Amino acid sequence: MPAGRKPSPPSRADGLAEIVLPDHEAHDVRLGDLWSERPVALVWLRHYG
Amino acid sequence: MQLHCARSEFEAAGTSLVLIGQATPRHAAQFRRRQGIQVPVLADKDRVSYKAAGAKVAGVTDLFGPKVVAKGAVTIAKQRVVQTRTIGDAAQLGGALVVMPDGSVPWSHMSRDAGDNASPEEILAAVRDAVA
Repeated sequence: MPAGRKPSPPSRADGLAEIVLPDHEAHDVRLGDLWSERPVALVWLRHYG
Repeated sequence: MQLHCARSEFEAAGTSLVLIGQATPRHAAQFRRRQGIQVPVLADKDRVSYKAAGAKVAGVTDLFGPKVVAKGAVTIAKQRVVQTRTIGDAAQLGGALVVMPDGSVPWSHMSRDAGDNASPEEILAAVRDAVA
């Protein structure tokens, strides 16, 4: 996203579901599995510092 | 309230809490250890999920504007926490989504600038509303 544009969160998480990211133990996690059985609050950090 | 300290409250509301950060799993693990975090932390080095979630890449005023600087000073004074070295793209802002099992997103907050972050209380209230 170009810098300065307004944030544009989705109304559905379909575009996130197939994304696979490693966790803190380097195990792959498919994002869609996080909400398949119960709701999830996903928080994107600006940085780790 | 620090977000990760509210883990039990999210659990009590029947919801998981997952953090996503930039950089590598090694950085995510270090971050968890340093902050004493028990919730899962995912590592999105390429910021693919940030883009898919609609998270903003900040411009100069979003990072260094007077309102942002002032809010940062207040946060440091209140929480007695000082920002350390930034790992990842410093211009990448964050945010939060609540996602239901059917994939709907009943609540979201994507930061408009570096000082615009939903509080843990706001996120928890949104979760409680969503599951009610």
